[in-house]
Amino acid sequence: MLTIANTTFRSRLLTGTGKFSRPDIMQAAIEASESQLVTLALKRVNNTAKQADPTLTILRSLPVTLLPNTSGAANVDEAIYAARLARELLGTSWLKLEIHPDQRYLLPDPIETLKAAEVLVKEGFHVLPYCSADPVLCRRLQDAGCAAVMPLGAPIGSNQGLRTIDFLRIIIEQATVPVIVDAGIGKPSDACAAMELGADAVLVNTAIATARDPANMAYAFARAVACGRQAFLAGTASQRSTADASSPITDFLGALS
Amino acid sequence: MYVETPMEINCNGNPMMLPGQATLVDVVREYNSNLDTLAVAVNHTIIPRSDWANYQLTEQDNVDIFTLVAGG
Amino acid sequence: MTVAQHMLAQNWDDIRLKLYSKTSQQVRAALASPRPTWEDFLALISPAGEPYLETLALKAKKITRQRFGNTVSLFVPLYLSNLCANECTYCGFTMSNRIKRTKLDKQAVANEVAAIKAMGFDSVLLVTGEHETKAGMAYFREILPAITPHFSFVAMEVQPLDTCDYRALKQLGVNSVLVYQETYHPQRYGHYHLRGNKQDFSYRLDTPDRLGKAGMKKIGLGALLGLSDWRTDSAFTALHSERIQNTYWQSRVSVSFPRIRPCSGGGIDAVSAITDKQLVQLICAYRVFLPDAELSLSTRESPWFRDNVVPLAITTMSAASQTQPGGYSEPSAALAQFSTEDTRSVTEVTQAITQSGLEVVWRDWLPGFGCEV
Repeated sequence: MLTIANTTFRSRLLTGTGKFSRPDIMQAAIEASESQLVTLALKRVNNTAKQADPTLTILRSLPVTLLPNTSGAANVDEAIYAARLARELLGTSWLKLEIHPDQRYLLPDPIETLKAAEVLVKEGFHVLPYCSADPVLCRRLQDAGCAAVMPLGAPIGSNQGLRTIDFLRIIIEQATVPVIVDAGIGKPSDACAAMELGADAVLVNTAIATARDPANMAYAFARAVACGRQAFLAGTASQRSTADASSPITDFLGALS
Repeated sequence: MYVETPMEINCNGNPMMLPGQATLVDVVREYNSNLDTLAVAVNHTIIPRSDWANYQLTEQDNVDIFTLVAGG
Repeated sequence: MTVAQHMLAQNWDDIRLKLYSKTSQQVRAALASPRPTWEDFLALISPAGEPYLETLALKAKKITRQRFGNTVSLFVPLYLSNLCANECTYCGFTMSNRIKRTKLDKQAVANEVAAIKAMGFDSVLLVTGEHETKAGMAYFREILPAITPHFSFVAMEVQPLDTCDYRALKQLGVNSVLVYQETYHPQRYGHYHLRGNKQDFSYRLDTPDRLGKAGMKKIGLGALLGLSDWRTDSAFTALHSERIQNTYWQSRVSVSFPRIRPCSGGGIDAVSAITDKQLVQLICAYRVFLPDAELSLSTRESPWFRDNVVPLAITTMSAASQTQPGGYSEPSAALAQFSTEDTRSVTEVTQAITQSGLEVVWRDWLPGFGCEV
């Protein structure tokens, strides 16, 4: 069971709702993923089109916890504004904090993110910050009271896989809050590798939404995440260790009582 | 006799003319009748849904109306 | 949840059972693991791990050299007082023990500092008995200015204090504080500590958290091996150390492995004596589990043991220690806390270290920019 902010989840696969071709395909994919934490984004209402985006209505009908994000925010003030709007709208304290002023790679701004996290934690939000795979930053976010950290595997939507694996390993080793690998996971084997490494969960959006058959891909991701977790818990198989026949310390060790 | 004078506000970046006694809920309904899918701020202050009906707008108020949409 | 709360939630019997049922297969897996976990640590210190000592020692040695180079730091303990307001049945300072009690005044401290500096030391561990009123913050404020300017590194081993006091000590130039839990077995802890503030198991357990919150640069942990089952106590110490290191990541963790020694008044026999061989196993397991931790070995251990174990995993050791207040400038003043085994001079210890291919580090650390909050 995955526990974030004293809430437990059976599924360790978080999903996003962007980039699907149709709402019904999105719904089928989320259901197939068995995901229990699903992200969505804030947007100003467009007054020309009176029909509402059906995403929220669909998600409310599913057994999932909604995780609003602050995408679109480029600095602390915008992120805090977005967070408060999301809380007012949903009546939830869950928040995926993301601040990316860079529009090309959508890489998170570590300084603004930390500042915003400090404020939002004090306001009672369960803050899950999307961040660079920087071990010190993750510790600072953890110290600020974040409910989890969400380091990236590669740029959002790039499907490049775990490019940051060596740093993810350090982050996982050091974390006292759940580590959710976000962004860049392109295929189920990437998700599986992250889980084998000891990540507590992964967040996948593009790789599912843009697959030829999103619902089937979501199912495959669910299996891969469960499989990676199982492998992590089972521990990697030991290589056969051979003792050196004799070494400079043999005499000393032999003389010990 | 009291005469309503129309006022102009700004909603999601667009100018909007309203009768002088308009409340926030009148504006919000223009956008979507499912009020529980919206969050609203006036001049960057978030107004709880329960206050919309009684919230009297004034000239040149900036109203932001947000909803949640698909996103990662 | 603080680290102490996490530790209180651990069940002694469960961990003990888990530890003693480790298999040789689990030991081999632990030895092969690139990132050994606490479960691996349990396997390494378990009875099943004993036959693998040489593999373990070689692994520990490799990690130590890789991480710390061919060096070992030397420090010296400076006993300031043997006053104690606790009744601890295993300790020579225990309050009912009728020994001559003393506390160094400013002049006596200055004499000791001069004697220690003359021996070449630049790193000092200040030790007192645990007496809140007579050797508490007021006393520390009085004498620390006579000590800290003379050393590049100052550690303290005194009674547990509050977070604000630790902040104050840091301001006064203290770099490290060691408070040993003695044993993590709450009931046994109660049996050994009969009077005084030290009876408060939880407050003592919470000490590393308070040190971390105060931003103390180094936090020392340890159990007095022999008071309870040494393996289970070490399992707790290792878990505690790992958690502290992870939570208060801007501090470093230091672990010691004191074994019960004879002391004036007789002391007690170990409930669970740890042999030399097992102590080597334990020290090497710590190194494998906590590659970055400072592992410290005192003069409680014999010259032969120290000369051979230091190159395997030890990063810090004391030398030429006197464990009675005033012992350096005025030998045999009051009675010592415990008897030391390694009574060699600094020169002899230094020579032994050099012969084993290591370099002695007197000054490992220089103050930073002094702008810390």
